[in-house]
Formats: sequence, C-alpha cells, structure tokens
Amino acid sequence: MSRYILRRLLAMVPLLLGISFIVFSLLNILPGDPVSIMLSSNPHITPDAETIAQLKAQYGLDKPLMTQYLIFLGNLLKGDLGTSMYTQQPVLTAIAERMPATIQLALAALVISIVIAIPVGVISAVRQYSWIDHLCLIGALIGVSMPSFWLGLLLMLGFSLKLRWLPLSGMGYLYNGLGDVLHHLIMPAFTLGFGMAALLARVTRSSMLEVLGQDYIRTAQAKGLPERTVVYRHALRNAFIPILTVLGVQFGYLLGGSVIVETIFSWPGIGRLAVNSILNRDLPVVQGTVLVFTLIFILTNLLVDILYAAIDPRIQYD
Amino acid sequence: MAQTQLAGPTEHSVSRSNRAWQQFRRNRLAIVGLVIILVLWGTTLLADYVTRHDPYEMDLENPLLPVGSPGHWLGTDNFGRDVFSRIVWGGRASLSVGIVVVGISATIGLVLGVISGYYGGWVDILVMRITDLFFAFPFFILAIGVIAALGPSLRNVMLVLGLVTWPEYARMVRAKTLALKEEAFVESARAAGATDIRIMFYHVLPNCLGPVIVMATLGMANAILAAAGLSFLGMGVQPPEPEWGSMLNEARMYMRTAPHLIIVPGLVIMLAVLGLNFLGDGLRDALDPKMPTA
Repeated sequence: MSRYILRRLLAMVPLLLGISFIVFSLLNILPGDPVSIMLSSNPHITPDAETIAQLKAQYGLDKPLMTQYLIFLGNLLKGDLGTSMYTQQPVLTAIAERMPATIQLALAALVISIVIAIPVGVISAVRQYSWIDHLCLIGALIGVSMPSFWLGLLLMLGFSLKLRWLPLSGMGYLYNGLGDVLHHLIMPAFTLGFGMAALLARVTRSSMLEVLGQDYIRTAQAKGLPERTVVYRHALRNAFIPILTVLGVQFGYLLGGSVIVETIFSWPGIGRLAVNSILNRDLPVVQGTVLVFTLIFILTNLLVDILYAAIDPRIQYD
Repeated sequence: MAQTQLAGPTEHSVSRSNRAWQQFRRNRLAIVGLVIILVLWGTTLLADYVTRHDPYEMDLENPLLPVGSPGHWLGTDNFGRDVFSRIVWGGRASLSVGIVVVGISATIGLVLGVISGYYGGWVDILVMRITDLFFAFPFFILAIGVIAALGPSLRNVMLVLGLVTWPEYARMVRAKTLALKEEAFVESARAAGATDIRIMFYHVLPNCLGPVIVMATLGMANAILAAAGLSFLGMGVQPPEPEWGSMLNEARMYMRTAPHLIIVPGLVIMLAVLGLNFLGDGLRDALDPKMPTA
C-alpha cells in the first residue's frame, strides 16, 4: 500500500510541472501585456514607458522566458507565490487567510449533496421505472441544468428578503455560537451542493442498479433478509466505489462553483478572492488562486484513489 | 431504458437510423427538450420580428415595471429597457456560445483523438499527457484564469471554453479509434490502398459520430451554463450588451423591488440548458445504448 502511494506521489511530479507551467503562462506567455492591463485599471497612474519598464523589471518580465519560468518555479518551491499588485500582501498569506472559509463551505456543500443524493439514488434504483424514479430523474436533470448563481439568488429572494429567516450574505463565526455559523452557512452550502447532488444521485442510481442485479443480492434476498438490510448493507456498500470516484471528480466542479457562490453570498473565501483579483487585474493573485484550487483538486483525487484501493480488495496497487 | 425491451417484431425490417429515431421518439423527455431548443433558438433567430422594442432603448420614465405591464409583458429593467427584447437578443450571445464552443472543442478533440489512437506511439503518449494535464485543473477555475489573462469579452469566453473542453472528445475518440482500427473494414480500406488520412477521416471518424453527437449536445449545455456564469461574474459579455448571465448580475441591485429581473433571465438559462440536457439524454439512449446513463 505505501509503495502504491509513493508511486502515485512520484507520478504527480510531471503533472505538477505541467500545471505550474500553465499557471506561469497565464501571466507571462498569453497575449495581453499584464503590466499595461494592470495599469489600465488604475486611473491614478499614467502609464508612461518608464513606469512600464520599471514594473516589468520588478516582476521579472524583462528576462528570457525560460529564466522567468525557472525563477517562478524556484519561488513556488519556497512557498513564494509573489505579492499582490493591488494590496502588496504576499499572495500565499492572502490565500491562507481565506482558506478556512472555502473549506468550511466546500465540506458543508459536500455533506448536503451526499445527504440528498444517496437516499434519492437508492430509492430510484430500488423502485426502478416507478413514478418516483421518473420524478427523481427529472429532478436530477433540473438540478444539473439550474445555474448555481440563479439558485443562490432565488434562495436569497425567498429566505432572506421575503421570509427574513436567513442572513443575506457573509459568514458566521464560532465566537457567536454554532448557530451563527450554521445560519450563515446553510444557504450558500445548499446552493453549492445542489448541482452536485443531482449528478451524484444519478451515479448512485446506476451503480445501485448494477449491484442489485448481482447474484449475492439474490442470495441475500433468498435467505429472507429484510429489504432494508439487503439494500443498505449489501448493495449500497458495494455500489459505493463508483460513487466515490465520481465524488472525487465532481469535487473540481464544487471548487469551480465556489467561485460563483462565494461571490453571490459575499463569502470571504478563495473563490471571491479569485474573482476580485481578476476584476482588479491582479494577476499574481489570480495565478495563486488557480494554483491552489488545482492543488486541492488533484490532492482530493489522489486521496480518492488511495481510499478506493484501500476499500476494494479487487484493485491491485502494485 | 425500459423502452429497449419494447422493440416489436418489426425490428428486423427497420434500418439502424430508423430504429434510433423510433427509440428517440419514445423518449418523451427528449422530445420536450427538442421543442424547448427549437422554440428558444427560433425566437432568437427571428428577434427582429418578435420584439417590439430596441434592447438598448432606455425609458427612464418607466424603470422596473413588473411582469405583465402594458407594452412590456416581461416588464422593464432599471433603465426602463424592455426585458423581453433583452432576453431575446441576449439569447443570440448565449446560444452562439454553445455552438462556437462545441465547434472548437469537438474539432480539436476529434482530430487529436483520432491521430492519437490511430498512430499510437509517442504521438499518443504526448496527446494523452496533455489531456491528463487539462483534466488536472478544475475546468471553471482554468477558464477564469485564462480570461483573467486575456481580458473579458464574449469572444474570449468562447475561445477559452473551447480550448479547455476538448480533452473529453479526444479521449473518447481515441478509445473508439483504438477499437475500430482492428476492424475488418479498416483493414480492407488499407488493403485497397487508402491513405492514413483517408482511413482516419472517412472510415474511423464517421463511426464515432453517435457518441460525439451526444457529447456535443451535453457539451453545449455546459458551455451555455459556464458562459452565463462567467458573464454573471463580469468576465464575459460586458454591459450594456444584453446577455442572460450579465442581466442577472445587473439585476442583483434591484432584487428587492424587481424580483422579476432575477427570475426571468435565470429561468431562460435553465430552460436552454435543460432542453439540451433532455435532448442529450434521449440521444444517448437512441444512438448509443451501451453508454452508461449516469
């Protein structure tokens, strides 16, 4: 097992190099001169040639491309993601400050989507082709098709503006009690988790259908076990592996969605930082957020793969 | 897929495409999807004839009129612009994003996929490593990163979404090509002296068409959703140009007084995406029964 993990970690090295190169090229290679873009967003500076040259030197943009990349890579390894062009704060600090908020939101959304999706998927599979199955199918397609920003705004409209049950935006803090945290968390987390729940429910359904057709399920039914035990003990447990894989891949969508949801609900996380830095043309922060989101994503997938190998004895890992 | 079992005794007499059509017709959701798409696209194509107001024409005397107001059946926005006109004209941006993005990503994906699968070797390794790299990024995050570098505009949104979504097509076509190139008809084409190019584009690719159509339909839905999201964040179509996502963004300030400005554009985005998803799902059952429905 540890050899498998080591091999997976080693396999990540070229991938990380590739990722770092793409992130590097956002600022340094793509057409569009970052310095002029940056200056154009600040009305207080008149961009004369001298200022531009000075800024280019400051960000090392006057050096040969390969040198620039090696410097970028070297800084990355030291944990230096550069400094914000806007606030002059180190990018890593800015991201670290906002990390807990994003993790809180993403985990809550994950929990909500699992809590909705698994029962829905299981019921659809057990009652295949019944009206309840059709209803779930249509519900899932609507869930996948509903823009998260629209869902978020509708919830705000209903629960904050009309009913006044939930706060319009912002994040709660533990020193105000757990109630405050949950009060602020529920709407953004539901918005973020809903689309994922829809996808997950469909995967759960098809995975369950496959398992329910197996011989050992018939055996379990034949020996007179109650349906609940057969479905939840025997079937769901085995149906879980494909669900887990999809969960890992979908986590990327969750991270992407957090950008939108954090913006709507003024949630102080990395997603909102990314959007603000894009609107401010603060490219080092954009690079940093893209890099961190991607790292979280590939580490999640690595974790899923390891878990996968650990829970399924049929998967060989050496 | 209950319908599959219902295929009657006439099964042998109907051609393959005919059977696909019958399969498709039985799927009521797919028909509903097709109708939604035709109505939406038809309306935007006929925008000149179905709208009575210029989408940019302001009427500061009559802002934020509710749905059902005389002369403005979907109301007006904060500048007194007719919401219906803006929705219809905005549809052109959203729907063309769908077509252009799928055009770009499917073309790149098909060409690289078939070359990768057909030639194998280092070409295959290179293409597959590049797709791995793209899959390592959360798609929306990569898209906003590139938009940040290129600057916000509708053209850049189309370009970026096209350039980050092709690896899916490439992987699927590669897998299909690997299987197809062992088939007898490819062998006989080669024996008859067909060039590699001819084999790839005349013999292999047409056989990938079914799953590609399904993928393109669902891909169009995702592209419309992502583009609306980018415009909502201010990274796509810029005001005052009408677009569904940016209309929603502008409406956020007036949520309390004019909720219809939130409800209408969002509903239209959802319908467009839902229609394509219904259609894609139905096409999958009809064209490619082996593909999992998840």
